[in-house]
Amino acid sequence: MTEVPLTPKELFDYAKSLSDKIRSAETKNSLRIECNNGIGYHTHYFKIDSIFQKWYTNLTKGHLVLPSSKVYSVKTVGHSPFPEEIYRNVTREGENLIIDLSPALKFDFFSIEIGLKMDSEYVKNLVRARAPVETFEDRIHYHLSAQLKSPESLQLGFSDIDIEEFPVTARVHLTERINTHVPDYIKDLVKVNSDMFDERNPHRTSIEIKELDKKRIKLLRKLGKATLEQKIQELAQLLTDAHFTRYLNTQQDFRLDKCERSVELFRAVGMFQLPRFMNVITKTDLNLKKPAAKGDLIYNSRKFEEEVEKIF
Amino acid sequence: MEFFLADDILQGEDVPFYLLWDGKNPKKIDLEISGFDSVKEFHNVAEYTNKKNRYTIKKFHINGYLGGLISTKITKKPLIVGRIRIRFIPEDGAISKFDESRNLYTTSVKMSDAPKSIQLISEAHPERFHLQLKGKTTVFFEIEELEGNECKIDLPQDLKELKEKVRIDIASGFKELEIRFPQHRDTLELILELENSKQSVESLTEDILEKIEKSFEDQEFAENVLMVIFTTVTKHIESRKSLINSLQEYFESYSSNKAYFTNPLLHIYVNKCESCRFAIRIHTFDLNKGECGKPIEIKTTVKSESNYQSPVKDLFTIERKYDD
Repeated sequence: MTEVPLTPKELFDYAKSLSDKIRSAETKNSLRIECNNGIGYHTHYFKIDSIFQKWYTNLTKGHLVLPSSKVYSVKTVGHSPFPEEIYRNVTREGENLIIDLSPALKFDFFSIEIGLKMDSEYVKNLVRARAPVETFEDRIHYHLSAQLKSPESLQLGFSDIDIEEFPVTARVHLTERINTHVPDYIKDLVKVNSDMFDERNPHRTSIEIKELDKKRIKLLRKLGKATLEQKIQELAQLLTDAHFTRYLNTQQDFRLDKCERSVELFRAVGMFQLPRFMNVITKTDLNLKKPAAKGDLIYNSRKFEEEVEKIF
Repeated sequence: MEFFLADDILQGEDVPFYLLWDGKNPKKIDLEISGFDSVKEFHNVAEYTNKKNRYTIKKFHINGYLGGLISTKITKKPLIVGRIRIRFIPEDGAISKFDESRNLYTTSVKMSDAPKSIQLISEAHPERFHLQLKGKTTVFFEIEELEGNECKIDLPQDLKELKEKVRIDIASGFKELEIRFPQHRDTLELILELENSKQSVESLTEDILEKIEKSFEDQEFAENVLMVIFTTVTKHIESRKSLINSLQEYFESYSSNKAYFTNPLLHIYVNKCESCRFAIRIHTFDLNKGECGKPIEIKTTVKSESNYQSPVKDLFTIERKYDD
């Protein structure tokens, strides 16, 4: 099935066309957006009554026909008198999907859920979210929030809306904490090493170079048996997703999802770079009953600093 | 009822707020702001009036929710206070009130005692430019050369040559990609425009990667771009040297108390017994890339008795005052 993202207008048209296609005395229309995979599940509920029966018998062969483009999944579920999922009732015919509704007729109440690939910008634009870019009063708490921008436009198309796992990213700054807790001799060592690159200073005399080398040897002694590369490697280990999440937790409406280093792409191109910040991704849920959410991201920076100090 | 107003706010940022309640929508909500600039957006509001930042909201769409976004502006004061007052007036029953204040932060920069002329001596800097910061926010200094500047300000020669080689190879690799991916021509052109000859390899790469991140939905294109950068970088940079360079840039960018130089490896070069005009402008930015105050201009004469070179940032001392 194709996966071209759906624009908001298409989404509403889609929902409307489905309602128009199926006549039932009692219907409910809901939209559940899974932000993790960018799929919107549009569910239409039907009560089987005389109106529905009449509509159904008028249909050719009892089939519902939908254009297949942008449809990710189709699920038909009977709810009452007993819950049961109906399998193998969807076939593809050219550009169309044919949904056979006859197995659903033994239920009083059933639903069709259609998964549609959503336009990611559209989903982002439904919500105003914020994480502070830096913290002042209390250096550990990052106050997070997310709220629906225009619930009314969603309500026009659907009686129920759930936005699940909406991501809010907080940038946790690392440079200052790393810099103030990596000892000076390491920084001096880096500087001496870099000064020793031949070309840097064309005026340098051989005496100066000898001085630099002496300084370097002295600094290396402080390092003990390990090399500078090994120490930096150990520092980089603290900044992996698995490790860094140990310094973090969340409260109230937000859940911790994962961390991404600001320099992830540097690694992809084979360069080493210490990250300036960590992107901490948190998730929250919004719906028409709870259109806004707040929570805290707590960063145990003291523990991080202690572990940086321990390396050197 | 649940009231929320964001905090830890930089001047110039937009600040979200919301109010949630159970049961019926009120007859009206009065909302008044001061210190903040204006209400930029209302969420779930069908009708409202505004008289000089006093808002009255009478009609809502769904039940139980008022949201919004308040704008702020960067001022000369490192700290101003924004206040929001809300009166929730139900059809019947008691009025609920909310009154919240938030500090809005920025940093102001001043240069004190700019020396008329400076004698540069290696290792020690007896005279330096003294930058005085007021306020709590993180700042980045960017150095711009002014017309009439006679001192050579540049990256060290080895870094500059390296950067040039990297840039040329990336540009020629991108030319080939333009043919294979004509639909991404604009992105590639945009990346090549990033050229700033006094930027290090690390920050050039960072800028490029940031730009291509936006085209990442086309996986094949992104992989090809990364491959161009990868082959260029490994061709020109010995890994140990790359590690040392990037660590040096990282450690040196930080100066003190949340103040950073965006290009810490920029050097000043003065020849022996020469006296030259030193004319630069320093821009100060916050974490949202908003410019804090007017840039500071330095116009002075520098002299040296020997061939002198030093990072430009070492010509400065930085002092920060956190309180007003």
